[in-house]
Amino acid sequence: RVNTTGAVWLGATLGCAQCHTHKFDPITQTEYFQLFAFFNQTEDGGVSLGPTEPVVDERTAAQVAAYHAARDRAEEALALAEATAAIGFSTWLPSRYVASEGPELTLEPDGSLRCVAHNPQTSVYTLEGDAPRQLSTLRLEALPDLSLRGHGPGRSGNGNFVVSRVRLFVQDGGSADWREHGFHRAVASHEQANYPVQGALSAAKGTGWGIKPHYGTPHVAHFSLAAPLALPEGATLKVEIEQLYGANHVLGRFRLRFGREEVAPVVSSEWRDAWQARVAVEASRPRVPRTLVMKERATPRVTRLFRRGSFLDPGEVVIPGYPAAWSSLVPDAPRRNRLDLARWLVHPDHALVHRVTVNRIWQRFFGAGLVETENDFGLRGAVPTHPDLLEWLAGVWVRDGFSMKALHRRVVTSETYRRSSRIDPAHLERDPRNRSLARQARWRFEAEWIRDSALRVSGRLVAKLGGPPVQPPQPDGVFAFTQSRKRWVTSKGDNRYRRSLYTRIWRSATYPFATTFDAPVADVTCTRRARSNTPLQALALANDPMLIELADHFGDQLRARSGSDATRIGDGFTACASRAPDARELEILVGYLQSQRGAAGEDSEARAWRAVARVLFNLDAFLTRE
Amino acid sequence: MNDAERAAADLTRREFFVRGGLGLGSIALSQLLDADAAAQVAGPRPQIRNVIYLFMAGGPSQFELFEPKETLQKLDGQSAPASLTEGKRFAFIDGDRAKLMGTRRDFARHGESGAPVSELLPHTAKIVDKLCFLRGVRTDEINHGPAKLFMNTGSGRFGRPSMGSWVTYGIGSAAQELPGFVVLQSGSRGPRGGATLWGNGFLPTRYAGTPFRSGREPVLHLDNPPGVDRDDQRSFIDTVAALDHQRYAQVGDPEILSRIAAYEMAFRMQSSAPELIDLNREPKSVRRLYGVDGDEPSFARNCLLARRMVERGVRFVQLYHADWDHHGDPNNHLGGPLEARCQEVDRASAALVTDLERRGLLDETLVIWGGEFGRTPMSEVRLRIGRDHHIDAFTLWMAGGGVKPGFSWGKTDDIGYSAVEGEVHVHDLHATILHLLGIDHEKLTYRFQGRDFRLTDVHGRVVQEILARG
Repeated sequence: RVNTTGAVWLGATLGCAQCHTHKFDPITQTEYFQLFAFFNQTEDGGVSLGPTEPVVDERTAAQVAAYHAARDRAEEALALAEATAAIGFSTWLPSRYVASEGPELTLEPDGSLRCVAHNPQTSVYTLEGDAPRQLSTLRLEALPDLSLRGHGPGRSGNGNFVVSRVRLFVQDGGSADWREHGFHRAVASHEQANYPVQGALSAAKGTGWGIKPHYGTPHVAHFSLAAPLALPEGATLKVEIEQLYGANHVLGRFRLRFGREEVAPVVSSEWRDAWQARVAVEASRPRVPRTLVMKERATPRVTRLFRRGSFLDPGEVVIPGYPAAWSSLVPDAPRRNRLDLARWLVHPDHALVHRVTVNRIWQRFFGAGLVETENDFGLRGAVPTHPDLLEWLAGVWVRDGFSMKALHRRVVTSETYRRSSRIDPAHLERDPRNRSLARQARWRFEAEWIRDSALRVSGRLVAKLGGPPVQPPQPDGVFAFTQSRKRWVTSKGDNRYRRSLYTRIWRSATYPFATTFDAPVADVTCTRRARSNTPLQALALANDPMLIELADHFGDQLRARSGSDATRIGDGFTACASRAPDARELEILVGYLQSQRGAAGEDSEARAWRAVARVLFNLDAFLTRE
Repeated sequence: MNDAERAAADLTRREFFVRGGLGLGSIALSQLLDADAAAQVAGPRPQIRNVIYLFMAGGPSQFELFEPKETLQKLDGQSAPASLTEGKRFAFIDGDRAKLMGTRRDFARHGESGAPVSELLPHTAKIVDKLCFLRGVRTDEINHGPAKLFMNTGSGRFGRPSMGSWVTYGIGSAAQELPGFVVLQSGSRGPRGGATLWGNGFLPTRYAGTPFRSGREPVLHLDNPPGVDRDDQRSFIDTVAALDHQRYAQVGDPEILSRIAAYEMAFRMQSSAPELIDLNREPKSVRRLYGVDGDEPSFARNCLLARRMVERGVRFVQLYHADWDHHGDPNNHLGGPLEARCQEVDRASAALVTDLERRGLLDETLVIWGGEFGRTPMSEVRLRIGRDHHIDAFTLWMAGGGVKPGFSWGKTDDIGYSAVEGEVHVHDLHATILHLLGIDHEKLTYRFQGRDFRLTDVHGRVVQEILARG
């Protein structure tokens, strides 16, 4: 973030000072980390996107309220059904609950335990708490949960679990030793073939209680002692649930109850229905869009300089601050938080930011900035070719209240901007790079412009603003070279023809058409793109089915128009090149159309016009801003 | 050079092409760069022209393949010495509790050089006298993604150019009708990190590696649109060229001539690339040597393709083969899964070296075989037995022009934990590869965000000891 801010706003290569101070550089490593300290105070989600906040309007607010009411009703009904099914048993609330192999167990308000976060291959859950005075049967309720895959109750891919063994230990007040009380028999509401609940009584390997194929619904097992046990006051109970099958066959949510009576473990139809009702309510949950927000941490984080840039080697404590070299630009600027940093950057007196911004706008209109090193205004950067012009543009821009529109207007109505891009051989000799702006620059469109132009010219463009990313057609096999095969479901309808801005970006394999045309990787800041001219680009323009589809449509449009061949070709050419063709250009295209017609017939007419459209999409005149 | 001067140099290069009638964009850049940039980055006389990098993604176990350790066998089941593990970071195992594990594989010494190779690589064993083993390779990164980035770009973070990009940026490629830097993939999936492993970073995009896809269209969009035959395509390209020439006459922009040439080259690629991947053109005996079976995508197929590419002047070919991770899960332990990986690559790796030599190409090609790191001398016990990631010392081999054949460099301690002599850091490996290509790794730089970047950053030592000629 510091490096990006440097490149984008300050035209400064701040990253140079990330590892150590350079003797002759004005920006020190301490100052680098003082800027870092501004950013170090935000709440970031890390790998997840966050923090976010819901964007609730009136309509969604009503939907949300209705959902909440329905959810509360469903949960009440479920709790009632669960309690009714367990009459004669009382819920045991352990005071200590741990899982081996990493995951965390959490005790929920309804007395159930959930295994969250890390999903272990195997685990032994150990639960300890006050013992009941009388004890004969342990009731293990395996509970479905909306947050589990397949709604659980287990954490394997389909929701299964295997309880390999259940053990019960008692520590009565007198002794510190745990005494095991073996269960005598076990019964369950449902048992998977070959995985009956009796298997959980012994230490034998490979046995246990499973529930295939009835996933996503509650199950109950009762484990009974040979004879009821009376326990003294103050005794402690320990239950161990071994789950050693492997491959994540551990309980995701469960509850323990104790009872004195032996009752058949039944999952009542009321209970099952109540759960299904709860699931149904969730399906009707309104989708409230969320948006990323910038949020400062509630408790500030101490920022330390990293020696040699290594986060493993933190050094002196630093507080937010601006580099001394620029301190005279905006004297006494507050420096409490990121908002202060933003205000410092856009302060009307911050002349450097104005020059950098105006220069980048100039670069967009002329192909290169007045300072050619648009991200390096330092001593090693390029000297401005027209310093007075840069200074004047920056000054007027500030006086215009930072109006981008006014700045654009000023540039595009200038005499220099409106010059022809025709290259005079004498100029080429004297100033091959056109730094003195004797002419306007010609350059190939950026990747997105090419596709967008083809969309526009063919009439396919859907100019809808905003929304989630879309997947226009891309070749098969793009993800054969990535760690995981991403899904690329080609968008249908309007989303097939949205501006390229909306195309989804996967870091490990970006949209190939864009990459071919020098779209940068998304890993590093890019303030100026390269402009190459390669055979792979020629292949993409000539043969990419995504473009061919548009060319075909364009050809069909031209064919359907009225007028002579020459008129229609002229219209098509003008749409592509923003100018009418000259006589020779027209002659070549009309000749090509006729040669493509070949044999008579409706099909060949369509084919010929499509071929012409394809030629138009491959012209330098189509691809080049002049 | 500062950025402005560099941009000027870029333009001059392009103009040079155009005037020389070679305006071919990235692909023929070599022509000029061989004469131009190469002069600036030149170190020694180039010993090789091409690199084929067989990347064993996941980190093969040196202990099961190349590094038998008597002492480690004896200490099997004992804890690792605390002096070695203290302060070390491991990916999964607990250094204090992990137990040393000797290999269960049989080893024999092979060839005149007597290099040890295990039973798992019988074909590699037969060519050890052509190989140069580096036994003390060291990396900085403990996890797959960063370690792969480090091995390819010299940095564990995103954003740096890959070795193949640096090389083609520095000295271009002699390939006339193919990209200069090609990436091939075999196995169940692509490597962790994806395109960043062959990315151009801050170098111009044209130096990015081009993934060659399996199947009949190796480069995107070689196929004409439906209903367009080769004659149609010819007249399409002629028409575009005629119109572009007309525009050139109007505006005089040399970039237009580059574009016309790029279309011409593209047209030629449409026949040369399918010709390249048509392995039926190879004699049956050659296909058998590699173990190419029909048209099935495989590592063997990619090895044979790599040879055909360097024959055609492709500068840098990188093959990824997935799933060399052996932690001890049911699908990645040191039993069946390791055996399967070895079977998939052994015959073809050896065949590639043999075939290159037969054709006289081995002198000018460097073959590299290895992963992003090795495996620990300690076992990792899950449902099955494996080993964890190990960065202090692991083995890779090279073969070909410029490196000593039948040679072994570097020695690890009694349990194979670290190098006791001949350590080769990844930066050193990079410096050496560039050296063999005739590039001084300290001179191959690119100015980005105010700094001259190098593949070797501020490190790197050419490993003189393995060079056949100084």
